[in-house]
Amino acid sequence: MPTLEPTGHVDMVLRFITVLALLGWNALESLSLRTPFPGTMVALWEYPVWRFLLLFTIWLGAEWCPRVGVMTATAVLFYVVNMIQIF
Amino acid sequence: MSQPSSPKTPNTPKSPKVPKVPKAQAEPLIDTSLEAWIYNIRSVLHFPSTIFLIIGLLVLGTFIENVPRKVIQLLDNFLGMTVLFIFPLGVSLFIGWPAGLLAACISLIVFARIKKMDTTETEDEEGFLSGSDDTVQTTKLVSNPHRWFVEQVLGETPLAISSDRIQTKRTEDNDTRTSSSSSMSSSYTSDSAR
Repeated sequence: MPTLEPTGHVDMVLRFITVLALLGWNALESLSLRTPFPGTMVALWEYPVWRFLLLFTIWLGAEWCPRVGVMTATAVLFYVVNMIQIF
Repeated sequence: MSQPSSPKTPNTPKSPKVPKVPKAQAEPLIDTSLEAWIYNIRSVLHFPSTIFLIIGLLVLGTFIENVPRKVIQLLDNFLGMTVLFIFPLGVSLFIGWPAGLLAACISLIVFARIKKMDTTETEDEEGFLSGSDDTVQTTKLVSNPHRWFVEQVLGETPLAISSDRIQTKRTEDNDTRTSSSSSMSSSYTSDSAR
């Protein structure tokens, strides 16, 4: 069961950094129509291993911390939907 | 100043003496009721069901692009949409919150795929045949670093081309005056015969 409260100082800092980074990514990259995704990420969409890892990250983040899971799911979802629209 | 050391004494109060229980009574009682049996089965199968469900969701989300259109179209109705919304709720209730979040993402990806199919079917470019019968997407990544003149002028940096092959329709002429025996008959229209 994921815990809302961090288990220690290191865990708290890591959670905060991860949530902050994902928040920035979602605000500046995913939600902005003017900034396209990097070409590397677009090229990687063809590989099933990349898509598997992205979805696995959602579950892993949610197991670690609910906030990280939600932010990861938002980022991955925007990316996947964009790629579905392109391809 | 040092105090004389006193012998250590336990702080806990003396526990009352527990009467010895015979071995026959110490063994745990097995609840043979149906409710206990179901609870036991659920607790035993919880871990493998979680693993199998998460692996299945990951595989489904990974290969959602390769699912044929006819299978996806089965969900393009009221019942299918209801299933797509209720499924994550059920997973989060019976399996766990992280698995429910993953199921919700997969449902939204399927939903996006359905909506994309709807938009591609409605888009009917005049004069061109839409490749709606194709089950495989024909989008290709731009591997050539050199940009076309039009792209340089318009400031575009395309990453992929959705379709590089276009099927065009032949202009149909219903005029009966043109002869069909000649190979050049299609170029002679009623306008050119004035």
